[in-house]
Amino acid sequence: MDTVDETALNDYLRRDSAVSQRYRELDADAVPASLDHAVLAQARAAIAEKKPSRWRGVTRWSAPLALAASVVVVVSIVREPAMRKVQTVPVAAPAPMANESAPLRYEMPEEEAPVRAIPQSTAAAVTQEQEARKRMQVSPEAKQARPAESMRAKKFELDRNVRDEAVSNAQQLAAQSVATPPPPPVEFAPPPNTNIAHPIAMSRDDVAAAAQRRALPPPSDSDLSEVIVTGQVRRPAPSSGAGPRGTVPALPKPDGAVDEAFSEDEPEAWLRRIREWRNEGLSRRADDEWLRFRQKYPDFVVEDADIARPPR
Amino acid sequence: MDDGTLMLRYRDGDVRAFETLYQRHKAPLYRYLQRLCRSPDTANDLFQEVWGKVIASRERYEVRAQFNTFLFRIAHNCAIDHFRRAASVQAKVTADIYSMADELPGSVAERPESQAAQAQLQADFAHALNALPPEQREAFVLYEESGLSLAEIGKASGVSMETAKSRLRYAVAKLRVALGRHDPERIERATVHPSHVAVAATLQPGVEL
Repeated sequence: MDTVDETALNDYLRRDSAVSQRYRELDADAVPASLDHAVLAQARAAIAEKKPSRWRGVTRWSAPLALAASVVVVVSIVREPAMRKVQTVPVAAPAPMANESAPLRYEMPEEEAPVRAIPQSTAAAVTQEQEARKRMQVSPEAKQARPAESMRAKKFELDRNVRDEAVSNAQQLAAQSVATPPPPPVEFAPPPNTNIAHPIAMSRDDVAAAAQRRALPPPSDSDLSEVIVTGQVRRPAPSSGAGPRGTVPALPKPDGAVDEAFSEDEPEAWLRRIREWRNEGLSRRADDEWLRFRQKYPDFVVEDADIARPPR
Repeated sequence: MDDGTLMLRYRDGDVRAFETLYQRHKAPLYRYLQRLCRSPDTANDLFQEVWGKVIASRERYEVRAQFNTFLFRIAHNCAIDHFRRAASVQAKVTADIYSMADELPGSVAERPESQAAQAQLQADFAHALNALPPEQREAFVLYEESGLSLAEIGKASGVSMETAKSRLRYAVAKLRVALGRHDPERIERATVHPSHVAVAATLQPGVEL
């Protein structure tokens, strides 16, 4: 039975058997037209209802895209001021000078006599020095803000060389108060020949010496010109304890000893030595030597770069 | 364009793709439902119900099998649901057989002799087809109308391939018997086993051999 049935089935599965033929000969009704219309109408209605789904992909992603775009805009707005601060030149040293609140020494009316500025400068120097010390201890964010203040400092009519000198002195002062002094700004890079000391960067010893100098006899005309330029009167040679703390080792200078590199009898060598000290960052010593040089050789012709320009 | 692509296009909103699908498969599906239900009204209702479910399922349609398998699977389920709702499947089968007999064209004696035998043959075949158990009849009609393989017929019917093959085997055997009565040569080829007749007489819907 199984064999016969299987044979018959295999014969049928070829789709050309008599059974299939008879089946296809049976009468069969066609699909009524009403049914066609009903089914097709239902198909169209289903699509019409779901028409918005074509935009489903767009609307589905519109919210996340809008959120991402908002985040990008917010981040760019927030970062822009920070980037602007970073791009400006970081100036920690000239900040004390550039501070608008601190009265700068050379911020005086033109009609005032320079001599009157001397006593003011001393007190102002003390105040400025104290403020400078405070500023040196501020947070890094405030230090970064100093570039902006230094930019505003350009508005002040200051001697460029004075500013340059203030940078080097401020650096030394900063080294006293902070572990790592910031790099000097390019625009305030002190020229090699700058030998003007800024009163703001005076150390405590300098302040004390300046106070003592009030008792000194009034300076001569030649000295007065230097005072106008430097804002300082001659101060005694620094002791072994003076100088930048822990940064620049005090050069051993026994009393009466003369540096091997120059002799005071040789003005050119002396000037050359002063320039070397400035290049080495020993501005304070260079300033002292410059004053002594000028006192000894008031008429010695020096280069324009060696001459400190008076404040305007 | 294959049926799966047309269905996906319809899912994406192309109504014309559905119209193409519909034109391809409406006749076989309609005949399938007619043979299965043997009632024109029931076939019409099921026909519209089947296509309505195809339309509703377009969003989650995936090309995992032939569209024919998908379509006749829905048709099978709709038919089963309909039969379950009916009072008695056996009673309906019996009623359909008699009603079918009444619906046949005029008696053989009224036709010319040359056509009488042909008409009688078709009538007997139709009777034999209608007399098949629903599962066997479905397997036979599904094979004839859908063009699916035995495995796919099994999927559409919700049974294994072997079960579908068995159903088809019995259906073919019975139909060959009916044809053999009119074709002496077929009588010689066809081997009628007494057990076939016994099974056909006693087979109840839903009973598998």
